[in-house]
Amino acid sequence: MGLEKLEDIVDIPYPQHPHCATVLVLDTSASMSGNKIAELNEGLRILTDELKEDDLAVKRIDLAVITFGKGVELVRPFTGISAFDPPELIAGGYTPMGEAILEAVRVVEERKAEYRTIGTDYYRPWIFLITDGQPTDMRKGDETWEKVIEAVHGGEKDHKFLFWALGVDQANMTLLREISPAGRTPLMLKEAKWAEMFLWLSKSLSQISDSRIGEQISLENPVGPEGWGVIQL
Amino acid sequence: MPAEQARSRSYIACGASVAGTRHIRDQIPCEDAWARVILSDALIIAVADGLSSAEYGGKGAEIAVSSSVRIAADAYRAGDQDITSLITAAMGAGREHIDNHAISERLDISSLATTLLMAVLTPDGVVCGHIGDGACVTLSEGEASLLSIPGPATYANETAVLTAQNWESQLRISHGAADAIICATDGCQGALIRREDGAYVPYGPFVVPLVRSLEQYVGEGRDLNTEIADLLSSSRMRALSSDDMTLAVGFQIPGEPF
Repeated sequence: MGLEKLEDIVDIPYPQHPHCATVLVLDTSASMSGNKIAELNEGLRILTDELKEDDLAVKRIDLAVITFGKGVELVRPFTGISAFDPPELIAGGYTPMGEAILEAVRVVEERKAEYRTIGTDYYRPWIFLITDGQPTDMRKGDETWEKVIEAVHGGEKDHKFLFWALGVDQANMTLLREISPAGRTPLMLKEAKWAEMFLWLSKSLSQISDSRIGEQISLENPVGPEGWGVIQL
Repeated sequence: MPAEQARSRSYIACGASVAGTRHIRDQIPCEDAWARVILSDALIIAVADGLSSAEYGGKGAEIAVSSSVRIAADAYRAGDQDITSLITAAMGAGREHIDNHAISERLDISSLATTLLMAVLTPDGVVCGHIGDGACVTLSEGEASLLSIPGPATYANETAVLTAQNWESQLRISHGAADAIICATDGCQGALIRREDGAYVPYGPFVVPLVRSLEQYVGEGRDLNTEIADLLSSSRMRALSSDDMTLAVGFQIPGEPF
């Protein structure tokens, strides 16, 4: 019989994984009807399936979905990937984007407070906005607009979260650029590249969930020749 | 760090740094480092985690541990009994060595970014200087206690570093009674300390048998560094994190000098 090894003697505890809260803020207004909402639903399934294949992402990513169309709705509160059931979204209504963004910022802060209460370490959360139009619940300069700008720009500046905006089809990219934090240019989805975009999101979240201390994540460039996005100037 | 076991009188120091699974997968060498100096009546251990985000983080970690333990040992031998100031000065000198290397290689010091945890064990107890994450746990009369926990950071992938301009403001000094010290970088700190109800607590079922077994292995003539490296390479330790892992242990053997 060989000598007893340390691993047989010491009690190695189960890992306590840090979590990464990610919120998808999705436009489900009437203009998303038809192919776009079908592609979005398929994208959510792709994202869920891909993340379920990644051991660390399963343990670390908490995903929430907020929609804006017929009102603003938290259709999926933060859920671990293994239990996440992608919603089947239906298009309809206006585009209350401002309220949806504020709701995303609110749930992210609430989630971080929960992590702190239970003593779970966490990564900087992600807010990922997808729209094909422009907000109908705020105008540049009005009260909601100012609140949204303060929440997004201030939140990024204070490292509260990372905010990504993605425009589809007829999205008002000028407004999206103003809503987006400095240095985070909103991207325009190339036609028929929905699957690629959700794969990119999945890969990016996998990378975040496997990131080590102090590491700057170099995400795959979504605007490269093979990428799903373009920067529209 | 050569894998030999250091012995002097009644103090023993042993440890290992192993590449994490992600580094192995990406064929990146281990960027953690550890070093120790054993004196007749003191033991000095340092562990460091070179940041992956820094191009030469591994080099920074290596310089940090080797310089700081050597400088601390020189000061101790010269009669400096104020361990807190000795540690502060040694860590500052470690940073200066990193800076000198950066200058000679025409690098920005941030490309050598690293954490540093350094502990000095004497018959009076232990003092620990710590910048960044990682942890130090002590054993005193068989009881495990926290000596130094990961520094405050908002997010799990952020840490303070020795190479920062404001390094001194990030330096945390802790004192305690100790018969043994166990130091770890963040890759394996999860075996030493756990979160319970939001606060860190030492994990005795790992720490206590670890030290007891190492004490026993000394008598059996086993290579302690290899034993620790094997432990760190085990699948259950690997499950804690995909990061590089460093574990260094210092203790005293009761009785006559070994």
